[in-house]
Amino acid sequence: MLYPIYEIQLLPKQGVQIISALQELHVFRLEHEWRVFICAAGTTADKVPAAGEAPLFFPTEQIPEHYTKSVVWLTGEQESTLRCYVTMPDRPVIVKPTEPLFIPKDCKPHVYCNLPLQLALHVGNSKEAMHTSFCEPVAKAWFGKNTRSGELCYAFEERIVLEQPEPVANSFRVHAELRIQNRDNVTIKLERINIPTPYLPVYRLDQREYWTVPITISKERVPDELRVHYGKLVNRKHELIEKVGEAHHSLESRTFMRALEAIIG
Amino acid sequence: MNPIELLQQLMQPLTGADGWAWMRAAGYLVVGFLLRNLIMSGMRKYVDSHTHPHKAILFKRAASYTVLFLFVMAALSELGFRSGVLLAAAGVLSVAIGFASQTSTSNFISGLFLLGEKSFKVGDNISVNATRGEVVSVDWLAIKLRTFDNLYVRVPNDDLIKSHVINFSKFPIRRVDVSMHLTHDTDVPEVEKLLLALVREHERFLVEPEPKLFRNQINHLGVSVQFSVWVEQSEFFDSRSLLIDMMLFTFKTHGIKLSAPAIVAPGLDSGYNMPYP
Repeated sequence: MLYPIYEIQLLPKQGVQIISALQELHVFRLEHEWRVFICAAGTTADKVPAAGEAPLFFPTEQIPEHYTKSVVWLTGEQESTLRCYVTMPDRPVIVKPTEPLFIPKDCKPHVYCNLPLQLALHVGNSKEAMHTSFCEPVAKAWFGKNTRSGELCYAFEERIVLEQPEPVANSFRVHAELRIQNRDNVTIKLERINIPTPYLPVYRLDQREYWTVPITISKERVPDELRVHYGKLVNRKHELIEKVGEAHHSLESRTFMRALEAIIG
Repeated sequence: MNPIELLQQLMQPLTGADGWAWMRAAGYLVVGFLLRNLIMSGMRKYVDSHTHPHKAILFKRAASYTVLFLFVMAALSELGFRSGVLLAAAGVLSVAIGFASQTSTSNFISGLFLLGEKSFKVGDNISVNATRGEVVSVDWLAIKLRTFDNLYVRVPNDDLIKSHVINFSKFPIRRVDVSMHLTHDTDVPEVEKLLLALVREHERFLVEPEPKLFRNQINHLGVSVQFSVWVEQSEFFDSRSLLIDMMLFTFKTHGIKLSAPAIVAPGLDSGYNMPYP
């Protein structure tokens, strides 16, 4: 079961303000449609959360006068519930250590990183999000050997840490455990990692911190390539665990599409 | 064996085919068409959503022609045709048609090479012989382009083989270059800091590959520089406009002067301007 992080029933012409470090979202249920008005941060709110802090939710009935963009969501049905879920970024995220990490052969260190979450707004029981956005600025970057082969990712400034992070009150970031296995004969130098976030779900532990499943990245000797394995359970002590965000793509689809690409080019 | 004799030999089985054979042949054709439509409908559901339009068209055509070919052959064999004779006839006919339509044959062969090369696909923006546009179809004899001012242009495959084709959509990212001349008294490192800070704040511009301000030369106009920023290929034109607007605003705010000509717009294909790896 998927748990929303925020849920509200709205009457027509009622709305919710979602205030984050990046922007303000004003979500309204109108007579025939739902509308999301996107405004710059601080347009109407006095208090703006810092980057990495959870967004603030306030009921409102005032449609903003100035907005940069609006989204009209038309279902043709009378839906009264707004549900807000979190998801991992829809593109891979590049994270870096503070300094390059050297991992000798046959070693298996664990490192941790914080990643930004995306907020997904759903109307009623719709599985499709009406609007998805980050709650803090996240840059785009290219990850690859050159500008020809590689992929478009998000670049996140938060650095890789070597110790398991402690819960931070009101945080809106997801922790990921990275297990790096060097099965090669030579020491590897780790300057940045591309984390395949679209394939990862999000869990909330004890209603206070977000975690995703552990990711194992192994550098193989034969063949000379990297392999990625996804864990099934969050490796962190907890009493209550709730799944709050589905992965954007299933792992099966990744395997299938890779096989298809290998066959048809 | 001359073509007339071949044709006579080809048509001879028809005279011996009875009504039941004709019925069976017609049945094969109907089943073939139905099966083809069924396969097409199944492929449309899956292939269209999982592969690129270009590959989807190729797959669908290949499946369609294969199914039709098999059932037409089966229908003909019911009428008593021998496939060996049919293939011989096809060979003779193709030579005859080839001589009669050399240009079309040349285009057809060029089309096969183009398909093998995978230089572009349906949906890509390309430039060929000074015509720029989106590829709307890749056919046996020609490709069809929709230019940015909404003209429909047919480009024979032969032309594509012989001339330079620039594909603007091949790679997911593209570099925006803005060239300009700063006055001789400009603090260029300070301008560099301002420009880098400008693009770092905007999510549209990539942080890697890093944006760079290249100092190209000093001449009578001032210091020639080129600001290069990487953006998503699909957002290239909007990003370039935004970058120029932002740069002009920053220059105005910080009193940075450009010497005439104020801004040299990048050429048509600025993607391969020097310097950059």
